Amino acid sequence: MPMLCLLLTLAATGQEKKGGSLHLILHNQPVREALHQIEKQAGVTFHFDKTRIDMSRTVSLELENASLDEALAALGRQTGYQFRQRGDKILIVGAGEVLPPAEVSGLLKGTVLDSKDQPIQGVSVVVKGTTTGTQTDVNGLFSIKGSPGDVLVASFVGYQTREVVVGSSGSVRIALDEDRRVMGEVVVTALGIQRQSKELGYSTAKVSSQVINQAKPTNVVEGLNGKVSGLQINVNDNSMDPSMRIVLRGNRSFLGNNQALLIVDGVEVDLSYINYINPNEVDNVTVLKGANAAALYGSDASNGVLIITTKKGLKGKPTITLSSTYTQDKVAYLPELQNSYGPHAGEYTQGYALFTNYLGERSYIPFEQQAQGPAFNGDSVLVGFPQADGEVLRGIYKAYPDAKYNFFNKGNTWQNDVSYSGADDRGSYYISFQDVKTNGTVPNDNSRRTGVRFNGSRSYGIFSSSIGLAYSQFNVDEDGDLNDTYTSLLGFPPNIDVPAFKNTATDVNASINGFPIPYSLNPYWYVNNVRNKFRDDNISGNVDFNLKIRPWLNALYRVGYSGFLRNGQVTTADKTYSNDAILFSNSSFSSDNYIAYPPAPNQVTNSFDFRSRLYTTALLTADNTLGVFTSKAIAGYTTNDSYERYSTQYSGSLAFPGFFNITSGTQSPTLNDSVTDVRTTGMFLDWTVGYRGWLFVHGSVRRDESSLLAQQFRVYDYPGVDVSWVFTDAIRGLQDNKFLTYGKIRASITKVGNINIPPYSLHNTFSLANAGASNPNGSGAYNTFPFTTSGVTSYAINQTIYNPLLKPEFTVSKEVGAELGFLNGRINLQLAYFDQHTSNQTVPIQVSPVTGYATQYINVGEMLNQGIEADLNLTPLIKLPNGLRWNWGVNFSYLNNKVVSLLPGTTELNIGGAAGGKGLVSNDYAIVGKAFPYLQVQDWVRDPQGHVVVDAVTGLPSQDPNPRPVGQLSPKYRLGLNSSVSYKGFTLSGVAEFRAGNVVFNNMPYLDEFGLSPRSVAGGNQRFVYPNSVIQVAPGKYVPNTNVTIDDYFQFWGQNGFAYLPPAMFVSSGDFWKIRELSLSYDIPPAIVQKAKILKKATVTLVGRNLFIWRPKDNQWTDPEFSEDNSNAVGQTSTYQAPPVKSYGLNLTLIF
Amino acid sequence: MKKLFILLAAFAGFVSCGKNYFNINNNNPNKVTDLPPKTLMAGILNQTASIVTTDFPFLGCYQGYWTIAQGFSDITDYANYNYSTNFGQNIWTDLYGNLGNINYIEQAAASDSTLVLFGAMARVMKALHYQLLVDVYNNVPYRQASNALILYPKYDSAQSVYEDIILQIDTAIGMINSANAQSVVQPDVSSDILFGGNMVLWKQFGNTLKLRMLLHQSELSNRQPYIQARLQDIAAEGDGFLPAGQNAWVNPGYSQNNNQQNPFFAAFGFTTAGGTAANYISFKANNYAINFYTNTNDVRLGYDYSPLAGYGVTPYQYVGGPFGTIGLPSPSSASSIGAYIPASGNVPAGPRAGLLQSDAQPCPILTATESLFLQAEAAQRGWIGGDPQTLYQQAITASYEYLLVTSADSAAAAYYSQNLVNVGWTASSNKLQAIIVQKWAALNGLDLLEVWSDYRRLHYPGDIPLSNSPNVVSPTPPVRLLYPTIEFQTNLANVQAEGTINQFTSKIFWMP
Repeated sequence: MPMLCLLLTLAATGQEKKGGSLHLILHNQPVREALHQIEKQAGVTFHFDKTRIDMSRTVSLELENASLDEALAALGRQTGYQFRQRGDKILIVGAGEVLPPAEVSGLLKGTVLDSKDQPIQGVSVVVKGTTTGTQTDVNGLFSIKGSPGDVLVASFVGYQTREVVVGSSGSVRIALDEDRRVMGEVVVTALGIQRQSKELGYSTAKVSSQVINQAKPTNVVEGLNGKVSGLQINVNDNSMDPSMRIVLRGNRSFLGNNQALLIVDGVEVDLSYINYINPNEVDNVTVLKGANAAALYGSDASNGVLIITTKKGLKGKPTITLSSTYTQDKVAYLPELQNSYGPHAGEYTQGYALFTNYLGERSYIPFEQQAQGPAFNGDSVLVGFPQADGEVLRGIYKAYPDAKYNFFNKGNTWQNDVSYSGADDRGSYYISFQDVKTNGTVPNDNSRRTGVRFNGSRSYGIFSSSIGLAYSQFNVDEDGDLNDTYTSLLGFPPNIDVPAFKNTATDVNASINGFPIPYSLNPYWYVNNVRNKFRDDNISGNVDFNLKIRPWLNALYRVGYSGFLRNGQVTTADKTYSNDAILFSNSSFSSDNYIAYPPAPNQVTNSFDFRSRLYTTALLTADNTLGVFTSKAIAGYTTNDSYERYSTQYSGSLAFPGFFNITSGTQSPTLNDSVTDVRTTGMFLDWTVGYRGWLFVHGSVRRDESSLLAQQFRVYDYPGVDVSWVFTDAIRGLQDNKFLTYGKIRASITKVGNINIPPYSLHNTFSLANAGASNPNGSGAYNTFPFTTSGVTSYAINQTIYNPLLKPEFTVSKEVGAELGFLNGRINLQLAYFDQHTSNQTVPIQVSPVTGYATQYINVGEMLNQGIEADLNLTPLIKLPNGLRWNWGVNFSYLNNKVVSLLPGTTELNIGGAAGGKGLVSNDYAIVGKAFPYLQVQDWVRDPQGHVVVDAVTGLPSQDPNPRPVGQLSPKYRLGLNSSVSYKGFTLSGVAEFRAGNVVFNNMPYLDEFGLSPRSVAGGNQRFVYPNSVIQVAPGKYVPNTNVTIDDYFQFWGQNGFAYLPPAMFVSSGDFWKIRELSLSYDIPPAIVQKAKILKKATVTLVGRNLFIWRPKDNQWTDPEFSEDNSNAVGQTSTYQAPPVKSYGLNLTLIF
Repeated sequence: MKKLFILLAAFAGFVSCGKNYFNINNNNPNKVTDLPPKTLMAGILNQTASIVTTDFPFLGCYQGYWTIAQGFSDITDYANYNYSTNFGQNIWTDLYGNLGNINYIEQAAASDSTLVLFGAMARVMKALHYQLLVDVYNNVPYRQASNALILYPKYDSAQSVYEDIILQIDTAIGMINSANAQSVVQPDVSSDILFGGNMVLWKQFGNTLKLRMLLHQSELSNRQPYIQARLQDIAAEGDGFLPAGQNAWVNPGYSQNNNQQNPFFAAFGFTTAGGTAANYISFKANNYAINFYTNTNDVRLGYDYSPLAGYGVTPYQYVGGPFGTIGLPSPSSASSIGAYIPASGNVPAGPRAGLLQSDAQPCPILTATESLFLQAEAAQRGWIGGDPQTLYQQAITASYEYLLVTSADSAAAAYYSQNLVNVGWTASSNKLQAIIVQKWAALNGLDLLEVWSDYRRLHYPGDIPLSNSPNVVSPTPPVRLLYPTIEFQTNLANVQAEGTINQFTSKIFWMP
């Protein structure tokens, strides 16, 4: 019903005629029709409280040349309604109600609340029929000039507009219902163009600040995880500066970028900038899921877009918000470890009878790292070698199950926020400050991020402008060699109580000279001596100039700049041994620290990374209406210049221990310096035509030009078109349907170009010549020109054949979808099906070394992505009269992605992998016919049924040299659950996520090879039959193996060494269920709060993040969401990622 | 409406950019795209020396010099002779990678007559590279190789490659002889790190390579007329072979600085900080070589290996392990290779003699001792003039000199004067065997591929033990490597056209 009012109001405006003779012929027709005709003819508008005025009452009128007064009098007689005219607005009041005084002006006050009785900030409140308006403050409070009897119109995006008549008290309480029909919702689409949701022919999602900050994350990305279908976020590690991978609707490019484009306040910025944004500054995040929505952003947007809009000042009294959060982090779990068996390593059984008893049983070896020895028995035993003074450490022969957990600290984060905002009719401002201080779980790790933002706007006549400025500084001091730290920690046998070796400087047993395990340095040595410190300075700014040339014509010019500087230093302390340690090195049974970690001077690596982006957009927008048609036409031009300068300086020969200046090296430092600069422009036209408000056709075409390609290929065009049909409005029989309140179907097809090559990839290059770069030891080149003693230099052909004939990749994206609202929006369902075909990919294919090259860039290969996304919101699921309200949201994504073709004649393309216990492994492939990326690793030799084939004599399986495809590395299914229950000021919210259908390679083989994992000692360190194995009795004929035991379990797990177990042994399911967020907030009742005069609101929240995870049994390693970095080669976990943590804490928010 | 168009035009003019706006990625500011071709030469030579000395460590085991220590390193496939196509792939990629650079110079010289001397050097180096490729893989891509436009190069028959590269050397010598000293770019020590621009040495080097290739074919009776014809070419050319005292080795300025080390020293010796290279720990003395030097009273024992307990602990014990025995030797139970021991406490590094001398020692491509042994064999066969005994003894002396043996000449003379078979010339009834056995003793760690070729051709020394591994898959040692995996990934049809290759039975064309 209010919609009708709104429409009537809209229809009435623009009429210039007032008064005049009225012609009304009505027979038993609703009052609505009479009012409609009067509005049309007399140029007035009616205003009323729909709860009191029944518009469906029938009246009969026959009036010719009547005046307005006569017509109203006639209506009044038949209905009993009273009319009060003010200007061209007429207020209707029911029979017997008191009419407001004709002209009494005063101050009206009120609050606007949502259906949960939560105040809504920023609601526009207007006295109907006037231009007087205001906005609610953060408590939902407003005051406005007006009089009792006035009608106040309260409207806000996402809520149904409500009109309320002010009673004689002059104070009102307005409750807004959320608009379940979505119809009026305004969505920010590409380039900041605002559109009504019903117009859109593609899928978008909007996440509000409240939803993002539910569990008080320090990073926006964490606040989005699990909340939007089609959006897959992987937090790759939990370091001080975690890398994130943000992918929308799967991977499109084999080797190019697949991550979303990031837009902040209309300006394109590096995706990494998201790590520096204060989540509290974010007003909302709009997710443009596919190329269809994003085409206007040009080539960078083929992967979808995240649009972050920061907060603006709102009209009303200035608001100060203080928020403080303290959270504690705790290591959630380590890989599964055994606590039953102590140190022994098998190589000694052959070389050294010393460690075998008279029965030939393996005995305890005090300095051994591998735990394949006898079971713990509580005896007092020696630990390690005697020190130089003859002292030997003694210990109890038992496990310390918590030792490895206790190595890690309890981390904590202090997050403090202040913001100040306000606005008047002509301008607004918003200032915020945030400080986040973190102590990590890895000892000595800490970081601090401090940021400020200023957003302001000002309008003057037809000209308006806005400005945004943000600066942040991020200081990190973290372990510079986490991999070695974590490897050595995990690698200790269970009888080593790691925290007892904490004092590396003062305790000889903990020092580099006397640590009892000679095969690995004390993990505390790394955390104390290898440090990675860096400082990031981030500045970004944007200015919008807006000119309203005509009411229907608008010009916008936007300039955005972002600058990022990281300057870092990794320092590694010297390894200096005491003379005693050096002497002792010859008496050990194998190489000890002195041999394995030879003396070395201290080292330093300095790095400087400066990145800047200058982005401009010019937009001309024309809005027209022609009869039943509406039109929105946009012409625009954007430019984008990305610059980066990256330099490193390394010296491994610093002269003075503890002094890390690069100039103090005894040898020339190793230097690196590179500059890249890329420019792109885009020119585009975009046109939307609407018919009767229920059919919209939208088309766009864009022409891109890029400096990356050769002149003849650098210009390319791509078009897109989409249709949206609101059938519940279009089909008469569905209008006002009580069950299906809103229904829309949509379809779109778009093509987007993308260039996935690094700059300067058109000409072959030369590199400094070297010798032995490909040596199998993997130690790097033996030498590199120039030779400083002689001044001789030389270059060699770079092994990549660059290709000046490269063209852009193209993605053709098709999408159909539906949006359905039931029961006035209590049930809301959004469905999307998409199909993306990416062809002409730019791939550096491996070529025969005979050519003199290793790789060549060519355009080849196709990838297909098909998927279904569904978002179901039950708001509320339950609503009880006592105020209990329970909301549910479910989002589901299914992704079927497939490599369609590669280079003719080839079926797989290696795309890399990650480092870890098995060294640098390249396990990730694009394989024709399989999902991308796909894990392909070596496995045991198996029979056709998949049983492991073992040797008939030794019982040992053997490795199949040909790698086998094992599984896809990106989840096929994702399910997100969001729920909140509120009751009397308490709100309990939670987010859970399920992912499935993928595998993970856990590159930590030594846990098995060292006998540290439960499965590696499950046989009690005795001979065992390989489970479910078979023996080949004739070619192709296998019989189950029931009695041939592995004659040397040691040879199986460890001694045949560290390369024996095939990588397939370390593959696990990537499935998980996670409770990502839990929060319980309590709004301190207004009665208490308002006693403190200046305080408007106070909220206390208990938060928890990543509190629980459930994994399949076969994943005994770590969080399957982790990965080495944010490259396409996902699904590789290792000791480069610290163990997962859970966080819990407390927040207090005060609003003044 | 008209105003609107003016506005639009102004708008477009305001925001559009000139053509130069996009021409920023044409010139690469980070990597050089254009340079004088001669700038590649020093790198080619340095890499060649690295390939010759570091790419064949497994042959150190097969030929009885070294063995693999047990401990962290596992028993590798090659100890079982059961290696796959992955094994030794870097030999293929290194040689063809370097050939790409060689080809670049050759092409540049073809279009720029002032580069004729560099073109000649490139052809000689090309010949060397293909000789190495044929000796490892037999048939290899040759005529269609080193061409960015031919992504699927066909394989050529090994014999035709051998014949053509001999012609390439002839062409190179012709180019050198015809070069006008005034008008061509002269190589100097900054580009020709092998001979410092001495083109006579380049011709002698070319002739020595030719002789080596002809000797490789010595056991093929049907090749004798061809060999004799080529020997006449060498004689007619007249510059002869690399003489005594003339090693073909490079030293662009090796030093103990980071990334400046001699490749062999870096691979088998020590890091610049004095730490051990991975190969120093994993390769240990083989008891066969230890016994040989011990039994022949050869002081080179103390130059090719270090004593077990280090220097200063007498009596010096040199201990070797058998190749392939599981569990032996442990890293500390056998002598290390090379005499050099890094500084420890107050003891300085050294001695700076033997196989591993220092970070800064020159890196050999073809030593004088090898050249002299090649000449000794040719003289013994009557292929060239000269006295085989003199050449034989000069060759042994050159080996002593290479290792910086104290009083090398007299020590060598004392050695070869012994009345021992395969040591003293007159004491050895089988002169050819004595030459090859002594060549084996001299080239320890210096040119493992040539030693392997001699063994595959003549089976000397005849008592080199096979791998002891219980899992060995063949009673005879491998005679070649398999084509590398990368060829199966990138050039499948052509490598498959070579048929099934067996590392024990698929011979190099010159094998008897």
